[in-house]
Amino acid sequence: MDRRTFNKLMAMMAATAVAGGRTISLGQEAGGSAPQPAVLSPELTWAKAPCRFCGTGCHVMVGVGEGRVRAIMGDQKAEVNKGLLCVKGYHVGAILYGEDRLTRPLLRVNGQLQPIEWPEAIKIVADKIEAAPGRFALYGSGQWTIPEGYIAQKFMKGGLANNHIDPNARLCMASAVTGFLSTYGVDEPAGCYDDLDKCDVLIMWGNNPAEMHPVLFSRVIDRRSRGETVTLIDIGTRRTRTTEHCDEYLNFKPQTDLAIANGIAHLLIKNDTYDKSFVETYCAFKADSDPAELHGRPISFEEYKQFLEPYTPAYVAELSGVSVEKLHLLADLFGRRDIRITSLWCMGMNQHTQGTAINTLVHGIHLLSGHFGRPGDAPTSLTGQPSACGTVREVGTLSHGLPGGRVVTEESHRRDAEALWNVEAGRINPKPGHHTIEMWRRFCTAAAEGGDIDTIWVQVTNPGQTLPNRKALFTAKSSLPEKFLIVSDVYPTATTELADLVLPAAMWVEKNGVFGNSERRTQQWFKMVDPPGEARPDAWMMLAVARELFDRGHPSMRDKDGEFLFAMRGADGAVVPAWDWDHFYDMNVDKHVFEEYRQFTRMKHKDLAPYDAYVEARGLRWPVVEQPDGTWRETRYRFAGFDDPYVEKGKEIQFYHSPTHDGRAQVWFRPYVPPPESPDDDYPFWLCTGRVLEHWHSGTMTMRIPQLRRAMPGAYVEVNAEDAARAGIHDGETVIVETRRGSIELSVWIDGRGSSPPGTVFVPFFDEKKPINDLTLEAFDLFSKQPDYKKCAARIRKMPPAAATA
Amino acid sequence: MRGADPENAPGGRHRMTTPANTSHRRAGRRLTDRFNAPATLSRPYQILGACVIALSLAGFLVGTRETPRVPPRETPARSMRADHVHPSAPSYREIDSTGIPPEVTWAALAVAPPAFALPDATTLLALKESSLARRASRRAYNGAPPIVPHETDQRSAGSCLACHGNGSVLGDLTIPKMSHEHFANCLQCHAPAAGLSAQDRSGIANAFDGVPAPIEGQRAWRGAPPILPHATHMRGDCLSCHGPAGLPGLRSTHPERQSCLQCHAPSAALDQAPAGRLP
Repeated sequence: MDRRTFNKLMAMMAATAVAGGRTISLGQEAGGSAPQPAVLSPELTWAKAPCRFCGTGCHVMVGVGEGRVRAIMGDQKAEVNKGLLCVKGYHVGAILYGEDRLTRPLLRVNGQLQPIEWPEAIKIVADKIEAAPGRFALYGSGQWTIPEGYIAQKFMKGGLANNHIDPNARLCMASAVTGFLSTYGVDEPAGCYDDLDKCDVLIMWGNNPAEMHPVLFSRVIDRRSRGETVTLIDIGTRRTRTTEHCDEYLNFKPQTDLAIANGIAHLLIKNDTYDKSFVETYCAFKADSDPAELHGRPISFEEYKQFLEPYTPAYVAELSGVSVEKLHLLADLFGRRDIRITSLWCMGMNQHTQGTAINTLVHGIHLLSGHFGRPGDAPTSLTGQPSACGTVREVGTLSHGLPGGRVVTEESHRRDAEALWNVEAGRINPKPGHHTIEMWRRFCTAAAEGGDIDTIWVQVTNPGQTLPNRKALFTAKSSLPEKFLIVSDVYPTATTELADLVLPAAMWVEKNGVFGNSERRTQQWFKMVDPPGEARPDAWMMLAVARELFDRGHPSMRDKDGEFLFAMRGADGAVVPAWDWDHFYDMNVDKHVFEEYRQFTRMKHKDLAPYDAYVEARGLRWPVVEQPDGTWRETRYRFAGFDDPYVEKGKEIQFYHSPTHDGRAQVWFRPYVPPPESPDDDYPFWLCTGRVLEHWHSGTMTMRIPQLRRAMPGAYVEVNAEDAARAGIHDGETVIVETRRGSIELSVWIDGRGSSPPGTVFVPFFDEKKPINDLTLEAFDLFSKQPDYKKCAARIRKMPPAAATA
Repeated sequence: MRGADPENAPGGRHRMTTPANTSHRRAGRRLTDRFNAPATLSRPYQILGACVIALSLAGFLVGTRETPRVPPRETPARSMRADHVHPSAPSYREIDSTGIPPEVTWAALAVAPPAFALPDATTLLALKESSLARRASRRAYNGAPPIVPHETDQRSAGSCLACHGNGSVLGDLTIPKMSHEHFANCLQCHAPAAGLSAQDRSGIANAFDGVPAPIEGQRAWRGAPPILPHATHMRGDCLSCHGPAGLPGLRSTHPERQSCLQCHAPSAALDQAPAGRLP
């Protein structure tokens, strides 16, 4: 480049810069024929927030310019993701800007949704509740923020004395909860993501983290790129992206994970490789009682051994299809004391009619082999929603729960909650409400036939797409005019299709929020942009309805002194009218609610720090305990003496919420039982449903992001190549997939994103145009009431010739 | 009873590179890795010493190759404010023409400048703008991981690395080199946007207005090396975009210089450096 060219270039650069608004301290004025100046990037203001999608709990840095989210960065300060995100996380900013955002309340008039004003909408909700408070239900989700969930909980249980509140997390991790409760007496994993950095062996039970929790999976496989050795084992019913990175793949027949777990325990005992000192010191044994109850009956070690006797490698191999050698391989790994083993699972074990059983069995293997309580040795369940742990499990927004891991069936728990809420003793109903399946079944049943739920208010979830056996549990509402469906959401969904009243909601960084992720980490963020139109936060909607009821003199929204149940006082002691939208942001409602909720968290060693401690931190893992110097210390390894402040001094391990009250965890025996529906001559295939990397749950958000939608534009049916050849079906062909409950047309993808073994098919559930849940089974686990979306009997038919040519 | 801590296992943490130091070390990394790879670790300090020496030597040798590359030219007339009393520091680009002689040892080692030709400035800026537009068409905002404009293997990263491991230019086709290392799950961040997109039936528009790439980084004065307008995290290899396989107009005008961050300051804020301003 000669001098003249260089000068010309510089002049043009300067011209560009000047035009973009920057001052140049030195230099000639631009002249000549400069091209149209390019616009310089505006200055962005960056702030932290947890990602809106899954339960991993990555932190993102949100770049805001001109009042809009305009860029996203992985947050390098966040321990969870260390600056990395997945393709959904990098595009999370676009969830706010789909062109069909709901911006006004809508009321169905003569079959059409018509815009109405907020005061009328609030009045309608209050009318419905006032008409029959006991026949009203609230259906929420693990995407509620913690303050929202707490307000909902208090509104229903402390206000209306109505326990018909349940979240979509019932469909997602209820079996993990019952697994933890019946093993340790207290919910949520003892370990944390740090285990992924320390384990020598990672076993994934029916889990595909490469797509579902990609940042966590990368955290493991990136160790290999750095020269570390970690052995990955995939125990699954279908080959996935995760399998590609695994050292071993154990393909099992659906439901036989129960037998595999028992087979490992059998070999640990037969080979005398179980951890005797760990078992003697820290374990007790349990089996199912008759009638079956969550905490079963105690058994002796001898009985336990006898129960396991039939689960020989040969028997388990025959049942499961996993070879004897691979069963030995697993048992030998668990039998070693010199390695550290982490188990991960998510929907494969939870969406299971024996979900509680398989959860307890996997905990049991870890306890029996002593692979527990050291960094890298942990049985860890993952969650699928950003606050399934925080809002559902900790705030207890389940039909039987109270905040802080407590339950409505215990009198002392009710009394404590009534005292903290300042309501009269006896306000809280001791009888658990309807769980999700029951709630929707009753809503979709005529009142005259026992359908005792008239109105459901749905918040932050899309049951119209995600309930199993959707026709029976959701679509049936369309023929019941006396039923009233209220839906708070951000976009039109399969649920708003049948809604009678639609309330436009603010989402994510359009409001303040707190989430709790899979590793007990509580994460806070502030509002950064305004919601569009008249969209408002769910928290405000509930406060407004509560106030409307209070103003009408409804006793439910008064505390025992006659004051408004949700009265919040500002610094000057005066009540801030947060129920009035003009004053909602006069105070930080989240902070007020969080500080009230926090008192519950210390009742079962789930201590949370004050709100302000979370403002700077990238989340803190509970129990968070104040130190003598006034700082707040999080806990990585629960029940481990070296880290958990609630373990008595000198003890290596202490299960201080033991169901047997003796510091021991429970090792369960649970037999293999066949699934409620298996393939037969009429329906010869197993149907499994699930997610894909690019889309999150029902796709309400991700299907509106062009980059994600183009990568995965629609649902498909994954068919095994041999099965396809036998049926004369080719790749890309449209076929009919049907079960006893329904049928849909899907295009075939052979050996695409995954590979289903012969006799099985897989369909993702994100596509609202292909509602696979018309086909799924609503049978659920006895203890957790969680249905099984992973297995039912299906068949595939070629399209009739006329239709195929049409 | 308790197992070996993997952190202390052979081949453990000592080889980790953090994003912050990746760029600084780029020139020397291949060498040090080769030294590190077969390390027995029975004498860690000796190995470490050897690495330090090797790195220094490599750096020295590389540095000595940065010698004059264009013939002396007339001293340019620089525009100064009238009240400016100090002689201004020449820009790196102008150093050759200042008459400041190189050190004798440098001159002795002088090698022929690599041959490269730059188009004229107008063309260059046009190229840059068209490249930025093409770049913008493949990402939701500046800083988003680019989408994949071709079909992909749905399950394995191996095929990605075959082309993007090193990157290349084939006629008009540029195949970018990965700007980051040790991430094994490519499709975790890069969404394929071809092939399947024919099935895109939904088509709900999205008004997300991603922040565009700036035409250049800020400069303290005309001719000063621009500071980085982006974070260095995940962009440890400058040459992946600014090297010979980068898009026209975005390529470095001085590819023979290898220590980018010597002159181009990163942004502590965007890098979330401890002293950065971001919350």
